[in-house]
Amino acid sequence: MDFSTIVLLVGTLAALGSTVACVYLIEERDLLKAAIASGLVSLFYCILFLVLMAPSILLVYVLVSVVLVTVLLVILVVKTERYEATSAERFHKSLIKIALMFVTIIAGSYLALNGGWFGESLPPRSLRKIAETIVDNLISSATLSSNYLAARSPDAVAAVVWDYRGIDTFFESTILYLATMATTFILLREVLSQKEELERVPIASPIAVTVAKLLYLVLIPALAVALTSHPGGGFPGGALITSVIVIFLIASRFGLSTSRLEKRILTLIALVCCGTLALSLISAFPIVLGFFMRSPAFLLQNQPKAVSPVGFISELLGEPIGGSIFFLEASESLLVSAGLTLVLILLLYSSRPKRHMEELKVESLE
Amino acid sequence: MSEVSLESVLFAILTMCIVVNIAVTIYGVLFRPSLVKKLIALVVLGDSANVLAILIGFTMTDLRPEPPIIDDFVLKTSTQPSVLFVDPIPQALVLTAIVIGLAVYIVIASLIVIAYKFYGTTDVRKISKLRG
Repeated sequence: MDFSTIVLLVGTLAALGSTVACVYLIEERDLLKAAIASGLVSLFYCILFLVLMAPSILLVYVLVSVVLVTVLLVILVVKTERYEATSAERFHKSLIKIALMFVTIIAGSYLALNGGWFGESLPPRSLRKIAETIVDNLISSATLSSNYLAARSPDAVAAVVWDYRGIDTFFESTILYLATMATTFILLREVLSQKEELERVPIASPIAVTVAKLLYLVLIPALAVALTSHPGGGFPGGALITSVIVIFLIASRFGLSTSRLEKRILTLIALVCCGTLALSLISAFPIVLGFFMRSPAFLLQNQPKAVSPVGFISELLGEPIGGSIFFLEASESLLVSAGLTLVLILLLYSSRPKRHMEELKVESLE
Repeated sequence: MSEVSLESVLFAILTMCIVVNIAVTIYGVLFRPSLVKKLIALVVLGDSANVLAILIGFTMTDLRPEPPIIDDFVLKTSTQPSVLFVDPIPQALVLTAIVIGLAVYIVIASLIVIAYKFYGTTDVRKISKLRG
């Protein structure tokens, strides 16, 4: 048994573990346990990403799904109900269950048998040409006569995300911006209406707050992750910064004093807008440059093309940074960190169930 | 079928597990009464779909694959690095899908908090009765 077989064995065990955890979290009536089980599933998926050679995904996923989503679900369970009611078994439900089972068996065996290991691979081999063109043109142009496809970035994933498929990613960042703003509009009044009540919550001891403040040291590697892209980039960097701030808030028992809460929220909204604005400006920068150089240029253009000499610098201190990818990643990390911190703070400080029950009692008495 | 090796069997089990996870979580999203349980199932459903995308990108290589990052080692060993790498396109797709997914989950979570404030429950059956 050679090394790659052992690695695959570890991956298979992780997949089996994830299935067990998945069935457990659907069946469990205690929602807190279910939320933690979803974190466990994510942990197993992290092992899978490592086995499947996706370090760029692993960096984002371990922060977003294992830390932030689990924290989000636990907050949600604490803010609402802890136990799920039992559901009655009906005939049409069991019918759909059986149908789902059949579809699973058919689709699963089709995928498993055509996965490229038993002979035919499921996506046709000709599709692989796209990946080969991208990877071969990343840095060097040795295989082609012209270098107009080069992204000058050592990481293929970052190059696809911000150069070859840049407009798509730009609009995905816009979705993040819109989701942040929507959550702010939904929850802001709710949070600010109970400021006086929050001031009565005991804040943790100064020692605990100081120890929690040591967490801010992690911001230095977070910046390093945000500004390099082999692997790394704006998404994992921003998620790391958010994780640090949210863990600090929970560890210091809401160490943010409520009198400054309003100002902090406004600052975070401003930072989110700055991140989105920076993304737009960097996308439009080549066109402005092209206007002054009197040559055609394109939105989100990274390196010089055949018809246009406009391009970003490709190296900084002798390291390949990938031209516009570096600047776009930096603005994306600002957008991601500020946006996610804002919405998680709003969720943390929104109302508690106890207060809700008291209100209901008062209303029914009246 | 050319030959059945241990690796191919392991890989088939791995794929099957992910498909089962997707089916189980679809069941959770459709039939569980609590809104919070539905969200938890939706989170795992999204993650499983992401893993499946990466899995399909992985199976397309012939040799023992490497992550799609060019370093000095790769540049020295091969003039055409693409034969060594897994497909970077599904990975790029999943990278943005994860963060967008988180944004969507947060909007849903805030809506659940507001729904709980209005109705006093997260059980969809009770909520539909209250409205009717």
